[in-house]
Amino acid sequence: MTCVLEARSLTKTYDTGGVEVDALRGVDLAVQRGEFVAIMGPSGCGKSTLLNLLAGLDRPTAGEVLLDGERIDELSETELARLRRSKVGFVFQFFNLVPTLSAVENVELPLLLVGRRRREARRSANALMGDLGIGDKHGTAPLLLSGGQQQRVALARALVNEPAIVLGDEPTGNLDSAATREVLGLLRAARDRGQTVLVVTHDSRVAAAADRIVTLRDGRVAEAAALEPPRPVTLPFES
Amino acid sequence: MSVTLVKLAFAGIRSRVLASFLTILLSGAATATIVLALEVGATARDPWQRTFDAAHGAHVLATSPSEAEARRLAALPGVAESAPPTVSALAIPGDDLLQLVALPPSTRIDVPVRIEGAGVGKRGIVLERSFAEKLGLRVGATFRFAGHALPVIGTAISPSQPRYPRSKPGVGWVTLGTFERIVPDRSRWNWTQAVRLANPAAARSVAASVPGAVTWEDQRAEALRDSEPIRLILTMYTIVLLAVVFAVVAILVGARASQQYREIGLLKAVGLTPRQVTAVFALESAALGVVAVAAGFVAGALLAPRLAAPSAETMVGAPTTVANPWHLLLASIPVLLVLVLSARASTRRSTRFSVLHAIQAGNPSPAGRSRLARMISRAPVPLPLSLGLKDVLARRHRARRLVGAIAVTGAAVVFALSMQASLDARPAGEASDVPNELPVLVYTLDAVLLVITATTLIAVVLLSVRERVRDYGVLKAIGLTPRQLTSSLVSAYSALAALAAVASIPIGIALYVVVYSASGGDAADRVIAPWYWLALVPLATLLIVAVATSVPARLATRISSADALRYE
Amino acid sequence: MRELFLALLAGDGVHGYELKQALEQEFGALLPALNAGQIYSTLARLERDGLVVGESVEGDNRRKRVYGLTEAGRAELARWIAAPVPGTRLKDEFFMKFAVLASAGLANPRTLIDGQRREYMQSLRDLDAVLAANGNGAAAELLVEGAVLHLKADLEWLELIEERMTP
Repeated sequence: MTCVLEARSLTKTYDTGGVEVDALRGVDLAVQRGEFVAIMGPSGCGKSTLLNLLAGLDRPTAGEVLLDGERIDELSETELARLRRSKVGFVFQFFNLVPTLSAVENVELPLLLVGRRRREARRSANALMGDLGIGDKHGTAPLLLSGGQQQRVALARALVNEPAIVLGDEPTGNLDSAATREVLGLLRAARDRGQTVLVVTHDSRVAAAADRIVTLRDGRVAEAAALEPPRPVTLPFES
Repeated sequence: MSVTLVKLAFAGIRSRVLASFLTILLSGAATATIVLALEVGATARDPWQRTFDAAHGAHVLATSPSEAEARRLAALPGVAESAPPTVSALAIPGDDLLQLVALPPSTRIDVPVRIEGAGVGKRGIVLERSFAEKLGLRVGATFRFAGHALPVIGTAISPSQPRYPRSKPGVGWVTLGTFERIVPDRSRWNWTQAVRLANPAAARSVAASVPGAVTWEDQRAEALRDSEPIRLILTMYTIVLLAVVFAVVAILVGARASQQYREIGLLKAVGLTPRQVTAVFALESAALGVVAVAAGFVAGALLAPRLAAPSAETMVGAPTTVANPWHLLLASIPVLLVLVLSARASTRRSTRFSVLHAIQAGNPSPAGRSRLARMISRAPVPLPLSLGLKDVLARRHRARRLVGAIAVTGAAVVFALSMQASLDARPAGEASDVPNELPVLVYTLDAVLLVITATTLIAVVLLSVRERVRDYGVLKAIGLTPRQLTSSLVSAYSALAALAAVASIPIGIALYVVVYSASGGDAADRVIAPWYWLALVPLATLLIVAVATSVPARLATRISSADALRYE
Repeated sequence: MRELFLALLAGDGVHGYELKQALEQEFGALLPALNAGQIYSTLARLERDGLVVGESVEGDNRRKRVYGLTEAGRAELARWIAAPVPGTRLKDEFFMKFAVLASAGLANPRTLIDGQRREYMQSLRDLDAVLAANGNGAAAELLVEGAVLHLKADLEWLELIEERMTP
């Protein structure tokens, strides 16, 4: 198993108005290809910071980030952008859909960026949205969709390129139980397809779906645990 | 409550120095133009009066082919002074080049005021000053016409004689002997009776009883008509400037209103009604307008005399500053009205609805459903351009106003180019109908427009970047490179501006044609700027816009994604 | 169990045999299978308590007993329908275990909690697998989702216990 994403002694300090905040203090993490890893921890423990650094959305104060064995913390913005568009799909907590584009235009954006032709991109985006149950909303403005629908659009946008790495920051943070199930299903499906999934979450249900749970506390890795494969459950009902 | 509103308005002004400055500059220019248009004629009143007094002018003048008819005027009641009628005739039958007037030494009323050389004397001709200048004849030269040759012994001006090219034929004064020699045919003679009245104010009623009589007020009006073309151009620029004021203020205020939707929500929570909130913005703009109007009035009043130069050619002394306070009122009404309406129009949407709607109205909505946006999606344009265009078009009103401002500014430039082309096309040596100050004024106004529009554009792009910081973070996270981000902004605005500039060419030409013919110009003399000059307009616009937007666009890319996404 | 019988007998006269069938079909494996004897003995007890009344009726070949509700039985049923299931549940197996062992010093509190947390997480995983299997009926899904939510609450509670009760 190859190590697809790695953090070595990752440190990040923020300077907010003269006060220094240590968000991460030397975090080591190695994610293997095809793993589903959940990062948990109390709020303020640095989970989102870690994710941003791993995605190349921010630069560490010290330490290294490696993607497919190559350091990305020293790449230029342009190189990072090109890397992200082909290899990384990011699902944000607050969806972060571009409001001036319709839902399907949001979803097809990564495809257009890697150079797929307009019509193909549109077709793939529509298909994926159909799989996610939001096929009829493709022309709708993001602001007019419900939270669950927006999250699904965001997820579609992250998955449409079939990126090797799927990163999620509280991808079920604003969803109800049913929508959470759907999103989990999609993330699991991605993992089953061979994509690597890394989510930051405070939802135990999401964490329970992961192959490995990494807990951060105060900017450091407190523990890492892996669960067993699911045990059989006898339902009182007959199906 | 009103005190609160006023305080809020002033707090708003202080916090937005650039926008306030732009508004004042633009409104001031508009005011100055209006004041100029109103006063440019009036600045010639005093000089004309001086000329009239110096010439011992005629309160009423009557001209007739019959001497008896003309003398009737002298017999009317109210006439205080009269003199024997003078004779005049076209020097060459049917040719409106020269009208000879026989000036006996006994003339006491409406005596031409000597400017250069001698008065009427043997064997010579005294030319009216503007006529002489137009023909390029100085004292001592010989005036040849229809086989005659007369030495020019002097130049003079008369309150009853308007400026030459505008009023034809030109006038030359000769002795009666010379007159009889050149125009022996008495049937072609016209007799002019000049009288002065005991009560000059009664001139009109006296003139009414004599057909074809002209009062001193008519003479003055005719003399002041010289400023017509200038006034027309000024009126045109007034409209142009007011239109740009409307667009620019709407953009600036609208942008601020949507930025402050939270503040608006707070204001409403405190108890202000939507109408009152709109009133705050309108009040701000009006306050700025008051300052602008005062400054513009002063500027306009001071500049007006300099634009009245052509009129001064037929008068004694230079045009005077008028500074009529009524003009201040007249100028302030349209300017303040436009400011208030513009502010109202742009903030109405943001303040009328509930806070939720305000948030949604403040947020750009996708242009997805509009036909234009669908066209863009389908067009084979590169991705950054299509993203940028959708971005710009999402704020439909702002884009429309910006395009409007650019188109109108471009039209003003085209107008100036055409004016310059017409001036250049005149044969060399011909005195221009147009004072030197006018091109300078036109170029200055154009420069003001250009500066304002360019600054507004930069402000709009900066604003746009600030509003969309989070979206840029997202786009970068998805994989847009910094260069693609920059180019999306620059290309979108450049495309819009280029379109506006292309549209401005026909508008500018139309403006020029209308003003030219309304000011009595001959269509045959009218020259529109050549195509290679006109082509410069969209090219220059493209260049200016590309440069103006590239700096703020660069700023957009400096934000790191993580910071952008945290930005609330 | 009694209330269940009352609900099933609410209609017109029901045979003991029909009762058995209903129990098997509708509540299949929810309850342990009851044999005829147990059914009839429950019916007898209900009759003795005056909630149910039996009547012998001429059937096709033999005499059957048909059961129906008495007034008291209907009243009891109505009471059961109206009264909600008690909400306050102050019994928790882990809490009791934790309290006893921790105070007796027999186990490390943190270890206990970590272990339980692991068990809850694993259960979550197990239940999610069931849901993902997608072959369940609507009622089964609801039950599983309910269990998931309870587990999430229990996990939160574990955090709280850890915060408050461990040094």
